[in-house]
Amino acid sequence: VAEDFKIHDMFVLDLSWKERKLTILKDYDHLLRRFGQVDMLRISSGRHVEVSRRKADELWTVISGTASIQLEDQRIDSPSFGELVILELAQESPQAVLVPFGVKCIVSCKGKADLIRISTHADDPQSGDIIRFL
Amino acid sequence: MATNLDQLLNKLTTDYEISIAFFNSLPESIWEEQLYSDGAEWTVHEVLAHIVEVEGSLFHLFSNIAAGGKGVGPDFDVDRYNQTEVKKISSKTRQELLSLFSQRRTKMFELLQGFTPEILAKSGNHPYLGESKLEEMLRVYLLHVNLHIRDIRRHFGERLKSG
Repeated sequence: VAEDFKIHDMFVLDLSWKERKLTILKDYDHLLRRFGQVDMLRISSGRHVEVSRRKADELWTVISGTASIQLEDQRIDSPSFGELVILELAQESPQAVLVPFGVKCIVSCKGKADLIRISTHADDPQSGDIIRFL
Repeated sequence: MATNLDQLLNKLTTDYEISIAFFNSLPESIWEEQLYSDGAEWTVHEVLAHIVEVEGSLFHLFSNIAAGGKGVGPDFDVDRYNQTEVKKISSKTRQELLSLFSQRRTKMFELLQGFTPEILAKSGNHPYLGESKLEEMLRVYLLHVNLHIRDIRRHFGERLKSG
């Protein structure tokens, strides 16, 4: 089974740089059904980001450097509950990863990486979501 | 697409089984409740009707392009089509829709089994994507049902667990 199919409902979309432009998401991609928030994150060695959303789907991509994204299915009623997937995302071979709500995501890197994170819902401290920059 | 046709066919089968189990598990109370407040304002029943309708219409689209056709016409209005066709097929009962979904997914599976890399590279006009390759259309097709199921899960949350 391909890594991108191990967790039910996650998806890895191949992207490509055209000249100096990287298109990450189009409205007809059927990945995110609404818009909530977009962030650019800069992660350096030894630091990581941990995200677990209760209602928001997210799309992650690396635009500079290389990052590791670890996904864990925490949805009790999911057929892939408990499944763990680790993906390496790199600027040279860009991909966007759909992280459905209920799937925990930890992003880290060995050197330095810039990432784009697009969510269906804005971050909300009252939501019970876990969003930690460590 | 980060996969090959065999993997896609496997995913079509497993996703179908998961979808059917999901719809069968939904509590009676939510079926006539409105899911979307934008656009078509569909209820859960109408979302299932939409999924079943798309399964049939995409079968015809993929068959057409695989056989050398051009896909949908340039004036095709996907929103109007969705409104009209979902209204028609929504008159079917839930069980009729689930049965039709099964028949249509089987037909789709049989069609895609015959697709070669040459066929996947063919292009045509898709109602949503515009001019695009069959391979790209299959990727979006694969995501479509799960997108709506996530919306149902998100909207009704705890009510789905309580049954």
